[in-house]
Amino acid sequence: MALTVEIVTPAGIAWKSDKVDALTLPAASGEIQILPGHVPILTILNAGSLIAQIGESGNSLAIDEGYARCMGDVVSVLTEAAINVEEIDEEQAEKTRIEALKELDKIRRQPHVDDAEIERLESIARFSIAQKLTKAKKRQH
Amino acid sequence: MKGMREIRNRIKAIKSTGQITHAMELVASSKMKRAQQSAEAGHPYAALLMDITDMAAECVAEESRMDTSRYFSNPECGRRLIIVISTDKGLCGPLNSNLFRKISELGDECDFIAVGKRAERFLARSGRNVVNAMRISDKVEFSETRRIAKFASKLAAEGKVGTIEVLYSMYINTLKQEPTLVKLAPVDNLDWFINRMRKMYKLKTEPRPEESRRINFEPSAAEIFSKLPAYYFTQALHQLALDAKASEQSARRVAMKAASDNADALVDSLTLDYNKARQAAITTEIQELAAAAAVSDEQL
Repeated sequence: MALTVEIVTPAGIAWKSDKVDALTLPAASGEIQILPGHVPILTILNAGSLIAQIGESGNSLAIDEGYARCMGDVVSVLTEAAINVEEIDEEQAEKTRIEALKELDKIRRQPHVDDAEIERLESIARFSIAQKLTKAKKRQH
Repeated sequence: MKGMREIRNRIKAIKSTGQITHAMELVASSKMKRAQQSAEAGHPYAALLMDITDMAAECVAEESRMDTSRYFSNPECGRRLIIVISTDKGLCGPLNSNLFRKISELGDECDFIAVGKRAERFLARSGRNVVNAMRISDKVEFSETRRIAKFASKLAAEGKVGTIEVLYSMYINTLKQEPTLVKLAPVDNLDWFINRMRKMYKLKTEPRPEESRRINFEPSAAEIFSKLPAYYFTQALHQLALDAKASEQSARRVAMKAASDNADALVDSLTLDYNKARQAAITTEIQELAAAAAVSDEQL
């Protein structure tokens, strides 16, 4: 028996597989691992890394906050953003971060606008997730 | 002869303008298709979001449900936050001016988020209080609308605004788009969002995976429920942005179609004028020749 996992975002289904042996999720109450036959569960997810184990290989995605529902060996993850680790461009992430910092510096002079603050936090979060995931991957190999 | 050359130049100019407007018409229709595809991609998300809501709602008392849905509101604050979704470019008929007429009807107690260059320019010119100016590309990526949603909900959470409303051009059909003001927060319950989503995606209750055991909620059903409105809010804003984009593209298509048709009609009537002028010139020439021949006959 294998798990069917789908990661659903507003831009479509980001990732789907029905051959997952084990799924690790960043649940709000701590990291949880779901194996086939898990009790039905509906949980809040934190932003973090999701790892789907298929055979020997692990597939990891960086996801934002969301929900995970596990019912009868079908795990549906609802999140507003998901990025596959292979698609994360660390250089790009670093560039975005620096750009955000620059922008923030500019915006500091106009205290009523703090959109860049959000963007900066987001990109830093994304970057740290990317770093974390790639590090974890390197350690595996 | 001068008249003829002028007419010929005008015909040439109008023909090339007609070609441009015709190309823009085609571009608008393909962009509209893209916006529709982007809307359809959100279907599984909407279905899952609704399903999770149902599951959590079964285990949460009615009163606390009402409380959590009101999470954006701040009744003491009289200011309204209006997100105006306009277009970046013109050439889309009266779409933007209809939208801006609606803005003029709003009172002074409004703060604005301008989405699109046109709204930004109008709000600045009319001296309104703009808290932020943002953009949405033609693709209407979720990440773009999400940034707007995050910004708006942050303002509301800080208590700077009492309501969040969206002013956009509602797509009715290809020929008709109507400026509409929609209140996204506060709402009494999630029904409004759910009904909207149902209508948009024609959702049916999809069968859940089979499961006979009791569902565990982590941390608790109430907490899961309390976080839901934020997801609905972002999702609804995204839908409105998609709708506004569809309006823009279809308005542009219609405007460009009218322009192309006008160009064709103008070319037709100018061609007629040109032919008339040419005929007149030929007639004059013959007459002159004939007169000259008569004069030279007399002289002989």
